[in-house]
Amino acid sequence: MYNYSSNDQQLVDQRVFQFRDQTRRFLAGELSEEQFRPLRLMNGLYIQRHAPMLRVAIPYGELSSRQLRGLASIAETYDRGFGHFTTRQNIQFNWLKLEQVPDILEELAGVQMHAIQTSGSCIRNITCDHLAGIDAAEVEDPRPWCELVRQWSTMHPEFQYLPRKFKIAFTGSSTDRAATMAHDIGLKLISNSAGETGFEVHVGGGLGRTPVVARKIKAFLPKSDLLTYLEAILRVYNLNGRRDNKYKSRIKILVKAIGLDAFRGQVELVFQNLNPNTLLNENIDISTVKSRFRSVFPLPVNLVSNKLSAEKHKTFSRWLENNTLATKFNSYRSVYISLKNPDRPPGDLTAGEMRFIAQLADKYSGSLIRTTHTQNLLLPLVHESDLVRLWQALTEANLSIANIGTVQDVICCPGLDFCSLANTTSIPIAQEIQNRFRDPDELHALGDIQIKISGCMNACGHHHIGHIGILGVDKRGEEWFQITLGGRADRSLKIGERLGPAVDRNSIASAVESIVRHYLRSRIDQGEHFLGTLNRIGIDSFKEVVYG
Amino acid sequence: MGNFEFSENTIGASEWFELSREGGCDELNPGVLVVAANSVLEFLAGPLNRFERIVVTSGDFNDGRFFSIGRQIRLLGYSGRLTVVGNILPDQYTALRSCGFDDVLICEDSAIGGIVVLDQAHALAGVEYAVPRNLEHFSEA
Ligand code: SF4
Repeated sequence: MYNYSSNDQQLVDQRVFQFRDQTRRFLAGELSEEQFRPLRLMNGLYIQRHAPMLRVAIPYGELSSRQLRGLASIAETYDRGFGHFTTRQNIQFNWLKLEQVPDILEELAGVQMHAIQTSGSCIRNITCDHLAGIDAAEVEDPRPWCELVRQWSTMHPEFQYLPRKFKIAFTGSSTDRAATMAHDIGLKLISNSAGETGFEVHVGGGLGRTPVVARKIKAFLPKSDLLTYLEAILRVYNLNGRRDNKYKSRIKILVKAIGLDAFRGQVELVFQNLNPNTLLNENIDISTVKSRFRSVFPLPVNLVSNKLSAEKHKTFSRWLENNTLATKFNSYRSVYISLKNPDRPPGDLTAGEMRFIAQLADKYSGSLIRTTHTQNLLLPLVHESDLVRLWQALTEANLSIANIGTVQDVICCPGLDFCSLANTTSIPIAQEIQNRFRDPDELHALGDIQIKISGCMNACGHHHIGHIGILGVDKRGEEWFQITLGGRADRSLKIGERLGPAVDRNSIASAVESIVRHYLRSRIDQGEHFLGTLNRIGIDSFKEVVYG
Repeated sequence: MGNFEFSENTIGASEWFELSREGGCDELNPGVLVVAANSVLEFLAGPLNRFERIVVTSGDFNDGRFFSIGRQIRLLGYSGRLTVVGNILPDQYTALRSCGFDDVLICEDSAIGGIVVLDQAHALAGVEYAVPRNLEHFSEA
């Protein structure tokens, strides 16, 4: 876990001061709505359907128990008692008052957090594999690099007014759990034939109206060149990205328009002029960043004997198998806390639950919590001997549902319930689908099926890359839903294929249920994944069960 | 932006580019190079240090190309005065200074209303706002 230096703290404190003044000027009529808009967006503040929404950054998904308590206090004091975790490891508060936002930012700064650049046309929160630093198969822990890029990009003087938003994601593992190929820049730590580690750089990925899989711009970038190479890419984009049409202004459109080779050529040209000494912020270097990461060890071990009844043992074992993972540290496992109980909107957590989880983190996981790209939480390292007690505690709080990676683990955007751009609802759709698969044995038997729902073309729910994707469309004022099949978010990122005509509000959950049950009937055995069956029997076979 | 009366010795970026390609810079003694924010980077060629001032004309404050143009001009080794003109917010002064700009020309009704010299204050916290000072008219600067 990274600990702020005095510079980091000063920067967020000053930003609060600055935003307080900007808000005052806006409320006093000294700044027009047009002038205030980019300034508030740079501080994560949107004007939503019902109220202003504040998006708070959780850089690369890492939270301390103290920070989680800070978020709980904000949810309680300024919002309606809950927060919503997003696919980009942020948390959103949906019911705020504009004039209170400076106070909220001040509370955040008090726990080393901020909302800087979580919206607007700038470099957004840096995201990362949620198993960074604990996955045994990892080449190198990407978190210090994420932090380096966070510091470099935060209030970067040159890149605050880009043509459009810009998202960067990291992974250090061969399994891509951060959807890096769906980012403006995706960075993978790899080792080359000489045994050195560096970055494979991908550019121009993104979802939205025009889903594009990122392309490889650099096969091996030495680590020392990371910031200068990013600067070169961003400069070429800032100067050449379209600004006349917001649907054509992402870097993916620029790369497509001029071609990857020409784009690479321009980047190289700018890169030649740069060296580490020309960076605008010379105060950041990787060794200082690394030295500010706190080690989680020693971790508490609370040795107590645990006896479970046979029935409880079965539930526990399923949870253990489904919601926990071995790590590279002997005797320590990662524990997921699913936020996908059908009784709650996907990704939502109440203030009380936040405090409860903070307490568990203090007791069992070195006070650390992570957020995942799939809108769940993770206690990164828990000693095996604590698992039963932890499970019991989670169960009492209704937080031990063993559905991570199952058909109930739906990714879903806020949709019509909150978002002013939405065509349709998405949260109630997610809940209806989850309710069709309530039997734990069946859930387990179905295995890994990712359902992703977006309430409009902007694709915040990543529908393109769900095994089953659902997109809300508006037809003459009614809610309809388009289904895609075969998308995937992993290293072989793939955009799903449209199944057929959109289905109406009353049929969408049944349509998804038929697709899932058709897979269950058609698969060769439990070892055949949904995508395997789809490939083997073809999409037409699924069309039949939906459209008859 | 509006029609500014800079000075007699003013040249635009594309014209300069042509001249420097044809080796015609030597006869020229321009004082000011004017670079539009939508210029391509290749235009920034030739011996830029012959200009005592380079003016970057920004579009809207929200169109951030002028930041990159300024930064690139500095990276190419330009050491004279670097000026931006256009609809700029005081909230942007710190960033402008970091990108290598020395001053901002404030325009009102297509005329130059004043000049803000970006000094040390703007390099500090990013929270001090400069009050535009009608110090120097551009042609005297
Ligand atoms: S996908 Fe559309 S409806 Fe959903 S949150 Fe994004 S903009 Fe809103």
